[in-house]
Amino acid sequence: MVDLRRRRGTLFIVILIVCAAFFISLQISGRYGGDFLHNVVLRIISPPQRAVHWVSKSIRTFFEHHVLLVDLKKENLRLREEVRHLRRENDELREAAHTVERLQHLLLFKKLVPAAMIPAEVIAYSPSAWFRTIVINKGLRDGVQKGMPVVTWEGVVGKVMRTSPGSSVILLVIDRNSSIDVLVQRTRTRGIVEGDGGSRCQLRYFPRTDDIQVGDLIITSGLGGIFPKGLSLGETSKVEKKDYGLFQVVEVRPSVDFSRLEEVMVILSPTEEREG
Amino acid sequence: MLRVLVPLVAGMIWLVLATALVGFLPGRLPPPDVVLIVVIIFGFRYSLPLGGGLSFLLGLLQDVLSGGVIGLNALSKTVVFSLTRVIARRFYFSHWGSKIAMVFLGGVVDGLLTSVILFIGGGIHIPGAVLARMLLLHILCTGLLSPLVLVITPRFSDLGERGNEDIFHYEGKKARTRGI
Repeated sequence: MVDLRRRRGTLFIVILIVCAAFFISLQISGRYGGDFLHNVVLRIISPPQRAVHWVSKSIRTFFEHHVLLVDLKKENLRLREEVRHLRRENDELREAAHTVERLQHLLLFKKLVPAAMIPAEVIAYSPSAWFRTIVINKGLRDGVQKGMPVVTWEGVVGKVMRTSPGSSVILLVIDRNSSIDVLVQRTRTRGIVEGDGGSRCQLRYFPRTDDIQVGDLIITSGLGGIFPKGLSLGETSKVEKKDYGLFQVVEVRPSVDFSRLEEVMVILSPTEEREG
Repeated sequence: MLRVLVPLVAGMIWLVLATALVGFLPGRLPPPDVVLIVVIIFGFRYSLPLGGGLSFLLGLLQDVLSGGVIGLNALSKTVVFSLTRVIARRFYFSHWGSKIAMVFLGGVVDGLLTSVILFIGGGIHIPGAVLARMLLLHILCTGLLSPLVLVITPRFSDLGERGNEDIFHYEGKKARTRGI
């Protein structure tokens, strides 16, 4: 007979695995989305995430503005002081110019897209390689709701997946679970762009008889009800027409560089419709 | 209480650091799985109920923070913990290379398990070659980070009370924890 007291550790592990499997099955069957759990954890984790973000940003700024100037000590004191001062000023001006440029692009974009938008800062990235998401510093308190599109002046970033009062999780277009109705700008042919989980997207259901070339611009069609029409999503980087099958294999390089995302815009469109 | 809280806090700190600092990585690289390394450390140090519970909680936290399927990492991290504990009880893990090798093995198990669950749930529709490349890169990044986490985390965990869970029962006799 099995001695349960001696096997209680194993039993506990089995219970944990069954619990996890139960959670997964609930979500796969669509009976539970996990919103409550996300909300609670995001509330707790957001402040330390912001703090770490602030510290890392400060350290980077410190390194860029001060530590990198240490080499100038080899020169005489007066020149070193002058050079350091000028470099720091130059760095600050360059940074200011970059910021102005980014904000100008955002303002221009805001004029082009006739919808209410709010700017947000990226404060964290997904800790898992399986889900390409980011966390922004705007949430329910700022009017951000689930399903709202997130963009930059370069193009589409993704859509709001989870919200908490002070922050939101954004599902990036390169995530495997993302799909957006699009148009090829040159030929106006429709297709669906899905993320590949890496740094690229795939254009799905694009008939093999239709014309598409490397470098063609892919824009949102506006048909999903989430993204306004005409936003840039990327350009085709590889077109492969096999000898069989109904569709072509088209790889899309997103117009947004997701590794350099700092500020994004959330389009506050009160739509409930889902895309993909 | 302290011996539960301290390793849990250590894991959470790594997770928060990882989420905030992933942005500094080059764009094409997947984020290293710090929770996996922490769970493997738990496998060397803690008993089934304590380590298993902590691994489950950290996995759950990772699921919530990544916005993905809740329970996915909770399940895979609990399995990796159990596997590490089984292996650590049978082999002597004193060399750093062997511990890092355990991280690579854990990465393979974690990746395969996650892929299988996502495949069954219909969450994977990317070519096998792309998936394999992503998995390998993910394991490589995690393995490269592992020396740092393997050095710091046990020192931090030592701040907590070290109880009976650090002692393995081996052939009827008590033996000190092997490895870390």
